[in-house]
Amino acid sequence: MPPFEESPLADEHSDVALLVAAVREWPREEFARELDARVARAFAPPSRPRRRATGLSLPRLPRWAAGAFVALASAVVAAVIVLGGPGGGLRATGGGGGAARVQATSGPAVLLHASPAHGGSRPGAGSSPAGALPAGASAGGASINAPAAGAASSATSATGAQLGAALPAGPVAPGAKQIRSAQISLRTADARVDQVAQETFEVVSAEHGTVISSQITQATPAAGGGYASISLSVPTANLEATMAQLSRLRYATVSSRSDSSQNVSDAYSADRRRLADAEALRLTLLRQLQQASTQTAIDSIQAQLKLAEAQLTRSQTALARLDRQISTSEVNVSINEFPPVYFPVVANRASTGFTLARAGHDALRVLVVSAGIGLVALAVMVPLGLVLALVAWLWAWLRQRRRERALDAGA
Amino acid sequence: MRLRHAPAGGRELEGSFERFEALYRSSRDDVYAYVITLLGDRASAEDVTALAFERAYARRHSFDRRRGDERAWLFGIARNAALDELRRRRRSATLLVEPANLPEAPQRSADDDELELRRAAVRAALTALAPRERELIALKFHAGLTNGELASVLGVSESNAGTMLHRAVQKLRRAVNAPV
Repeated sequence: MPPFEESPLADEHSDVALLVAAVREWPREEFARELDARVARAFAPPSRPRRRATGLSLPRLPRWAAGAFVALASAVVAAVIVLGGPGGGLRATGGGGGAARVQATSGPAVLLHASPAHGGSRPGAGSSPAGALPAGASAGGASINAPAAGAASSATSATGAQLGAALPAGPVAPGAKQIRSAQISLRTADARVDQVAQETFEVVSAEHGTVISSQITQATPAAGGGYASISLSVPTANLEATMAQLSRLRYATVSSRSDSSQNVSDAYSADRRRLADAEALRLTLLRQLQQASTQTAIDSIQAQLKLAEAQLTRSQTALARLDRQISTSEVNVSINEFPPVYFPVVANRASTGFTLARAGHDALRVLVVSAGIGLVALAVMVPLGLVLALVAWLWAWLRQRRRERALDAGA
Repeated sequence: MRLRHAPAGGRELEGSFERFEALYRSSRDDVYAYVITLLGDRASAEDVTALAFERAYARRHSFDRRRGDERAWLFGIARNAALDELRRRRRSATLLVEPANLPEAPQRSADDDELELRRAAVRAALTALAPRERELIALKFHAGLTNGELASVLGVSESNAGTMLHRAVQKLRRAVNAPV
């Protein structure tokens, strides 16, 4: 037991200090040694002593610095996600934002012109090269619809190297009767719609065709450019040559081409049979008329003869119309003018060049997006932090109050 | 003599095991004496004392010199640990002082009879005090805290701590000097 005189207290309470020191409890030596050892190990388990902190150890980051680091890292990650997402601003070139500078990754690669959207009121012109294609045709490649029972077939091409060549229209039996037609869309630039239309007329004249109708409109590039729609009729025998020449015009390129055919062999045979029947009936009636002896029989046969001749005339007309459709083909030509655009590779090269202005723009955009993300994060985290702080304070207050009550209850 | 010197600065204990070790050596017995005054049994006092130093070591980075002395900070931790032990006791409804943990009976001799009587009287007087008064006495005379440090540990104002201490001392004096 230590002597009472060890107390360092002031004289005012020295008597009480002596009294209290007299009854002071001291820790057992075993406990003191054990606790000393634990402290020497920095409270680590005996088998794995914890490394003591020395003056050479790296300083620990303050908690606020660690929190700020985590928040900053989160903001950077969010900015990267936002900027690297679909349509991210970092891929814009120089901040122009114009559609002409965006790389065109879809559409026909063979075209040298961009595809500005049009209002759709222009005949034969669509918002895409495939816009003028018939229903069922697929843009970007050739598709051949298998003819149902050999009735009709069509071949359409919007891209590819075979634009200038004749497209196969499906297998045709020898002697089959076909109605063929074609449609071709041409593109031109620099206000050459007139020249292209004139070239088209020259081709039609050379192939012994005729112009059924034509509409040529001049317009400034700002208004969308000029356009023309021409309907032609050419001998079927010259259809392929006509299409080949139209595909090789000097000032135009082909954006789409469609060839279609319809097998009318059955209809042609039926018309021929009806015509033959009508002729046979007429001959029979004529013979009966020669042999008729009574006036009544003559009147009746003449009436039937009129009907037979009318039927004969209708059959001849139908057959002649079908013959004309078979022997000539309708060709629709649409010519559209578009402003020239850059090749994708040219646009790509322009967009990847490094300039200080572009780098500054990108850096500014990163900063703006990061600031926005930080602002949103603050708007969420500040109220949440206040609520959490209030809850933590209440929890600590309640815990301390329970402790105090435990002390009072120990009386 | 207690080591009450504390260097200037904000976070002396941070990253300095040696400084914590010095605090431990200067405060171990005082913490134990204070805790056993609150709890009353040796085993619990040993556990709570060890727990208090372990908590203090774990939280040494949060010690801020500007908010008080390191001994006051340490006794605050010990107080919370002891009060947690009291709460646990209330929940488990164990005996406050178990027979096996009673303080060892001092060896009686003829020379110590008068001294032992005096100690018994002081123990009885301390037992008669309210728990908060006993705590004040322990913090003042076992831990050697100033009134300001007392206020910091107990969460009261300094003047209030002084008043409470004065009343507890007077009560203890009266109890010790009272005729048996």
